[in-house]
Amino acid sequence: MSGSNPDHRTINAGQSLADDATRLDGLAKATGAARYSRDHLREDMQWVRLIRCPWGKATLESLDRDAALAVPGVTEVVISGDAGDYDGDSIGYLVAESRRALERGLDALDARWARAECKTSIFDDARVRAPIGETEGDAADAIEASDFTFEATYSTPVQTHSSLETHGMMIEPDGEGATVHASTQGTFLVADQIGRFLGKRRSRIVVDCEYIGGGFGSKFQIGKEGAAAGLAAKRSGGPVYSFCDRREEHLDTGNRPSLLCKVKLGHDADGTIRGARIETFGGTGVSRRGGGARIPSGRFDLGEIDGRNHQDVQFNAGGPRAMRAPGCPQGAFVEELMLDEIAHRCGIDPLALRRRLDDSERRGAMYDVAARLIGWSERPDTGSQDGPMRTGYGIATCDWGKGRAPAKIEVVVHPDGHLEVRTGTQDVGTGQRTAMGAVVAERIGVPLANVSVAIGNSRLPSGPASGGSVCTPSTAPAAMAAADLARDRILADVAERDGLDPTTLRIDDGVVKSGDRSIVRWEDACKRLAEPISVMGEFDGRPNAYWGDGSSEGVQAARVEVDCETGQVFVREVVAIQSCGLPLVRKPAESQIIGGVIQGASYALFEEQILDPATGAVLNANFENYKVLGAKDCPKIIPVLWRDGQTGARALGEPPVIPTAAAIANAVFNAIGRPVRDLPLRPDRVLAALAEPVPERIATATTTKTEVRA
Amino acid sequence: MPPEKNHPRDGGRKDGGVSRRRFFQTVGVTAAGTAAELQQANADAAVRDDGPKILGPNPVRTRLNVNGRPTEFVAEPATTLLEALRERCDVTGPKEVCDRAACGGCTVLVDGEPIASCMMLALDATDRPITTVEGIGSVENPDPLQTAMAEFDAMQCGFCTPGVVTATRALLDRNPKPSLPEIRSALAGNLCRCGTYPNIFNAVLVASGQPPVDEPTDRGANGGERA
Repeated sequence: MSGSNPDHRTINAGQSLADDATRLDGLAKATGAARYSRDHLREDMQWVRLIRCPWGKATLESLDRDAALAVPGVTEVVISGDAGDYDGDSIGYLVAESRRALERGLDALDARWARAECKTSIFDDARVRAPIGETEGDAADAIEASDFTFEATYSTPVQTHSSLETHGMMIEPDGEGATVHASTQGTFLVADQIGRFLGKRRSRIVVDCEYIGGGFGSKFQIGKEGAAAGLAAKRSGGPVYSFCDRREEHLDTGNRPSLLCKVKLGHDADGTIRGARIETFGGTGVSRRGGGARIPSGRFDLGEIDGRNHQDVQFNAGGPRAMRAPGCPQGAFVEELMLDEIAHRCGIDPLALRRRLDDSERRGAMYDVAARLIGWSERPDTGSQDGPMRTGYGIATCDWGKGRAPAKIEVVVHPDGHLEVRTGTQDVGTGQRTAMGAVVAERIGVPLANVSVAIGNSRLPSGPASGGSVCTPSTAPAAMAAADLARDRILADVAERDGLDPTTLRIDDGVVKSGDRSIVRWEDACKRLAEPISVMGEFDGRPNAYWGDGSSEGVQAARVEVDCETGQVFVREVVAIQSCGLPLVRKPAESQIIGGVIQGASYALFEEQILDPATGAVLNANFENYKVLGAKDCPKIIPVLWRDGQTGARALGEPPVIPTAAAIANAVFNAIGRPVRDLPLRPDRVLAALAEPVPERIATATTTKTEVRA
Repeated sequence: MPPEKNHPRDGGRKDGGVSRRRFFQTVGVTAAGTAAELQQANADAAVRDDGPKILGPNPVRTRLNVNGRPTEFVAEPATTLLEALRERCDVTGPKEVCDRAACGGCTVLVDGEPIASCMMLALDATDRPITTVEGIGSVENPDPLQTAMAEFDAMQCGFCTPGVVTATRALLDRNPKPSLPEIRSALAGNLCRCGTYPNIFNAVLVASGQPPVDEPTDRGANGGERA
């Protein structure tokens, strides 16, 4: 269907610092050699499991602590509460010498609960069910002055991070100190948090997280499972293993909160939006905050906005945590679908409407490329198709800030020419390890094969947590600084020995050169070192020469097919154009974009935490019924790295997940002629939408004010 | 309200329903094919004359052949193959992710067939050849499939990768040149949360001597100048 059928390997050639570099730990991961935190097992370790409430709200009626302690192998039963406010809430923990003993202990404990009334949805709250409130301020006048008003309500579900490695840690106490193998996005955050439970000084704690099985925003805190591990290790003085099981992972390690958004906006017949009232309600479970959504995004001119109308709504479920671009995919879904609905009413191409409302030059250029790559010219008129299989095209956008944090990178030059890059920050799968190696190799001028990277250990130089997409932008300048220091040391040495001017020297593909003349091979230059030299590159968080310029902006276009007999949506193709300043290593950078699109498509089509309205029990807390996108559902994805002359590394982890669901929802609207305003785009919702009439188009000639309620 | 018995999620475990693991513990009967071997290996087995061999609840001697290395240990009969590999054999490539065959993270080959090792008792794998991702190749001596996985960046966090490699190795063993739909089908049971499927597809195609999907046909789509 799409016109050009291009390939991203060609499109992205020459756009990154290291075009052909392969992930440094790729083979370790593909052969099972990579040892993740959860793979640190010892025969003599104690197992920890939290005792959890199985209902939305319940009080503990009884439990048999003695019976649990009588189970052979059970070493400790700690009860610290007698009530639970959500499925998965904890009231204590159990420690045992083996997994089996742990399970028998939990059975013997025989906790009996008295269930109480609970809230299982934000719709239990009258504020959510109420109609949209009166518009206030300038927005009210702007809406009043516009030709038409549009009102609609949108919703998104609770999505769980579903990292494949569950939360937890294995602790190995050793006298005064301890080694903590944690599954974390923040090496140094764990060091900060665990000491209080472990009863050890921070300086004696080593956090190791060399390999981490995903995080997506949920692994900044040690959590209850970590606190219990610390306490158990303190008590026993021996090794302790405390990881959530899959069910616990879904219940109590955070989620992307649900959103309900009511909008009322005023627009003219030509699509100009004069003003809007936007009300948002975040479903935060038992947490009091964290449900905010980024709408309006600021990417589009929506006129006067009455938009400070956010309320977090509590109900009896586990609370949210940051999840990849917190608040953004849900906000983008609402805003971009709303734009497409306006475009449809006004008879305007949604792409043309965006060009008018979006003043980003970079995205302006991206719109052209996205349209060409997806085959936008073949986009049918919304509502024009009949027959069982219908095709649709949709487009949506993203942007991200320029967050940064202090970071240090150490480079050790060994006399054999080997470069050891040392950074305590973690690689949660982003390719951070490879990026640091590639920056140092490229900057010095030696092949990546000369470089190894030690990462994910609190003994190594400090760096940021993997959050806010600040990690690479902050560590890249530090790595560049360290590389320059190392190179200059070697070049000064060469210059001195050979009586050359060091400013004339450079290193090109492992050879020190002066002009075109080869002076000495890198390895031979290093041989002159009496011992390894160590240099430290630092980035203090303030923009410097290494920071460069760049921004994270993106446009995605999706092509879908909808089976109008079953209501099933098939995402066929997604073009994902993304700028991230200077892309460091092409392949992992492309993977970040591909992964963002896949998670976004999964959010669009499948993911949804379901609570039993009668009891508050979570009904789909494992992968057989919490559906995530799989190999058969995966669309063709074209990740485009948009270099555009930018020089500094910028955020890449989060932005690509923002627009995907919105682009898909718009494509579904285009295909079936009716908007589906609730995620996920389930078959029943598609069929329900198909039963509705196609939304009216506004006659552009009309001048009288017409109220068209969507 | 009275204490609840039937939980909507687990089918009333407290009310006489059984979890999978409890089922294993209670029954403790292995498949008929291996019972004879186990009888010999198991000093603690209580043997009934007129029925299947009853093992447990006490730990029994268990013998596994993992990546060509025979190994023996004493474990409860309810021990799954995944637990045995990870906790007894120090083979940690297979990952515990869902613990109910919903994700493929623990995939290993038993008699050359991919199975979810979280759903097989270790006893049922006695003396049958077990190949894990470690047995397919090593960093020093990788299988071409593993090389292709690294080359095509077919992983991010990498936690699903051992299962993916194992499942696709089995695919290539029975179908040396699989089509893209066949690759998708073979991987339908392997979840990757980071979202690397397209790169996995390409790695498998190239490892089987086929071109990656979407061969380059267009140039210069990128708006920026060359770096």
